[in-house]
Amino acid sequence: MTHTDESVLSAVGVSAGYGSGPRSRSVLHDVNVAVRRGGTMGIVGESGSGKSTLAQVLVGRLTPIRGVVRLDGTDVRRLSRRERFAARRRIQLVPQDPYSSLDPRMSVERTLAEAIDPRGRLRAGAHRERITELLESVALDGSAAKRLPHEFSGGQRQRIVIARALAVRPEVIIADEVTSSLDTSVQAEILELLLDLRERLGLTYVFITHDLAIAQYMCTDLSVLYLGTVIEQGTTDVLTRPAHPYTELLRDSRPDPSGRSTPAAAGGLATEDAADPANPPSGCVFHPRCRYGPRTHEDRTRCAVEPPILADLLPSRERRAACHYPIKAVIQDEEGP
Amino acid sequence: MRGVRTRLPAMLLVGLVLAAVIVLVAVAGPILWQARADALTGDIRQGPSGAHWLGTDALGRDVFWRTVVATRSTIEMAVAATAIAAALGTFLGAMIVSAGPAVRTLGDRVIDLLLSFPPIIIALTFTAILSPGRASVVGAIGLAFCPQFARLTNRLALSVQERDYVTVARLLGVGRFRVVTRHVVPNIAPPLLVLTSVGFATSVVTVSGLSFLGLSVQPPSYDWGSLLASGLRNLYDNPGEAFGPAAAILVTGLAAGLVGDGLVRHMDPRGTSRPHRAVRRSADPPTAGDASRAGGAAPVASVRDLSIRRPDGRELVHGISLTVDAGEIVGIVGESGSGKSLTALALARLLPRELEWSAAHLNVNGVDLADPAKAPPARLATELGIVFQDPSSSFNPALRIGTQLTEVLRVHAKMSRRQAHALAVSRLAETRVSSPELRMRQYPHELSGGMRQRAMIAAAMLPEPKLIIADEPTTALDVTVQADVLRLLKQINTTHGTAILLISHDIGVVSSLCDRICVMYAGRVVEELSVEDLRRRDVRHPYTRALLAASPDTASERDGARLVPLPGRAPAAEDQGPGCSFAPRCPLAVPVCTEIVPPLVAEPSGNAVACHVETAAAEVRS
Ligand code: SF4
Ligand code: SF4
Repeated sequence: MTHTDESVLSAVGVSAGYGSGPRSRSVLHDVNVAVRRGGTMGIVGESGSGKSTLAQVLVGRLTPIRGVVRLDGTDVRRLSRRERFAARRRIQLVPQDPYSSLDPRMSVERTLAEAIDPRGRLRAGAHRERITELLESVALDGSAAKRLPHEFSGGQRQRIVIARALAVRPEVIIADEVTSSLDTSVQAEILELLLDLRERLGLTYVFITHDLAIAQYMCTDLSVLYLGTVIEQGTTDVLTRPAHPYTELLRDSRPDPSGRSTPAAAGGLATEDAADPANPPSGCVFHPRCRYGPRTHEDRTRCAVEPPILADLLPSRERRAACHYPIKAVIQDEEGP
Repeated sequence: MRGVRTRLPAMLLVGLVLAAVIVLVAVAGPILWQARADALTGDIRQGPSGAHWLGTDALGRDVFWRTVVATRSTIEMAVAATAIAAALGTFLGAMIVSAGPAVRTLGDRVIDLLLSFPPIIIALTFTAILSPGRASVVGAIGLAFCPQFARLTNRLALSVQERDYVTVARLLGVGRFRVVTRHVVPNIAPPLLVLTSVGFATSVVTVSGLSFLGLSVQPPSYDWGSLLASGLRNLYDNPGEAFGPAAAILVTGLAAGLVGDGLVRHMDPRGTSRPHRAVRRSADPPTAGDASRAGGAAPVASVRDLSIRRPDGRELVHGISLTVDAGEIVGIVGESGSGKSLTALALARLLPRELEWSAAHLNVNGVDLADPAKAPPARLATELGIVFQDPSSSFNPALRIGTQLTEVLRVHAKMSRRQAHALAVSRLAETRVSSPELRMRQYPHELSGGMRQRAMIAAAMLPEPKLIIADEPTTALDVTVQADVLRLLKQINTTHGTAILLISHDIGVVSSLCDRICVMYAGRVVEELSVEDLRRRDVRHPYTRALLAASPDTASERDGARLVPLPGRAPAAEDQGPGCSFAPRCPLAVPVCTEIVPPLVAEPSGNAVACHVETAAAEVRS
């Protein structure tokens, strides 16, 4: 993907992994993601897709092996120490588990004060107003300040975590499966809060999730990850009108309360489980499970040898897929009969 | 720590008082009573008497006062040894954590090696090398216990460092040192404290042990160990001589344990609020209406008026009734705290032991479970199969899949090894586990999550049960694997006619698999409806409606409509009012709602709803 001016944060050709030497594990392979200012980029994938690793790279916790992370178009490695400190604070992470992301021994007030003033330069009481303001912005009562995390429910904790992220007035919030441990009714609360904050504070989100319904509801753009590569990218209609066979599988797997697509009733062949991310298949990583690939079409041998690259499918450049035989419906729709 | 042992703060108090007494005795003993302890009398080796509470030793000295005076020596040595172990061990552990990977690996190995020897052996070796004496005993014990502290510090610091709050603090720009002092140290202190108290207790024993062997204090000095040694020699003349020091060692150990444990509970931010010890109150009168449908085949499972109570008497499930007909797939959907999993566990007779339950009637496939005498466990194992949420914890990690699958068949169905193996392989194949013969020889961790869950379903299917209870069977799985497991359950239902009770928090999952759905809220079934009605979104209860409105699955269909969060949250068991549990959050609530629990009223369609307003509206309609 070409870098455009409007993207505030982008990963360009990023490969990343953990460990070093012979025991290293590479998780992301040549990933390109550009996050538009004011938009919400959804990163969708199943376990082993590398979506959390991508979050780590974007917040600067993990240095890519290859490729660069750009903030406002500048390679973050070019920044001085000081600039990097400032840059870090512009991007904040809201992790998945509201139970492990708050220090159980610190009151809400101390937690927020630490975020406002990480070096502890000012007196403890100096932040009272700002703390009340932060709590209000996530619809919590000022009386919450003195209490400890365990006195709150999961949803309230997640609000506190969001307030902490807001404390540094960030531009980008990376939300890593923020609602996956919450009940449906509480989840709705958190999602609405995030949408509301996006509008009020002009935030940009990177929304990492395995839940397609949430991705569709929250995001303006989507990147679908499979075994460490982006296999499809575009605006939200990626999930409703997929061009990549894997995205289609995702869409069809999703249980739907309206009963229109009922995976339970669909029957048919069992899909293979996803391959081991440490040992991805040759060629197109999805080919052992693909219903349009060599498994069903004998002539499509190239899928097993030649890795497809993420290419523009539409003249509007609004859809990219990494597939030798993308599903045509999307392209035809746009180009007319 | 919490929950496993609920001990009263009184225990901490007892421990502190004991410890204070011991410290006092240690300090004051030699000052006040040295003379009494060393006084030689003519009464040699006498048993306990009014003059000598624990009798006298071979030189006629009073054993009681000698034990009292010896306290200082033993406690001093144990304290010094524990301090050395704790300081050195914690320091080493912390060093290893912050070192580079090579040092870390080496350090881990060395600690492993040291931990494989019992500390007393290490202490013995050191003392032997260093020549007997107080200082060498203290040093030896300190060194011997330090690997334990190093290991614990190491483990704890590593785990805390991986916590999200440490990650976030770093992202916020909090410095390394501040992170350690503010987040890491306070959070690893409690377990270290426990280890310190355990270490102290063990040091007392070890100090005494070495001295018992004559490796520590040399006469004329003495401590509990040496007193015990000479006491044992005179055991037949004066048992009191051994009893004194032995009791002292025991009491000191006990005090250390109580204090350590109590302090931890005190330091735990959650430890201050203790579970209520409420007076038991009588169960609510049965209120839920009987919504079981008339006629039809005999149900494979039926429950009437099932209530489940916590040990403090609070009710978690309030008299619910439920039936699953043969070959039917029934879903229970609800959020956390709705009682859906407890209901399933009660049916499977797997409720945690501390929960009490009662039911007018609890019947699985003709077996009356309400009467334990009539339902031997072996019978039950063949009546129903169970699939849990977490496929990684439902199998024993140490046993091969094959062993675990065939066990049930060989024990309960009395099959031969060959028969059991053949059946297990065919079930694995049927649940589409790839290369079943190979899987039989593998350990659970060698299978992917989806494979394990399929193997679990195969295991549940082995005895050909009439009913499978699946508690959140797909919650831990990826969406593509989930679709697969749901398909598999459907297929089993079609080909074997197995009834399924599916418990889920996901309204999408239940509506894609089930025939009939019970919606639970705060321990009651609030609505029961057919899947067609649910799919049509033709729901009656305000809670079910709210659940659909809050679910993003359906929101995206509503084209741009926002999610409607439910105000407030589900009531905890202790603050449920007398009326409808949903009243505080309900937009339709009328005054009667907070006074009377609405009964579950069946409609002609077979659906049922528990809501005053809805029921009244239905009456008006008809
Ligand atoms: S490249 Fe081939 S195997 Fe891969 S997704 Fe496309 S059609 Fe399927
Ligand atoms: S009984 Fe009353 S409070 Fe309960 S759901 Fe119905 S209207 Fe709401």
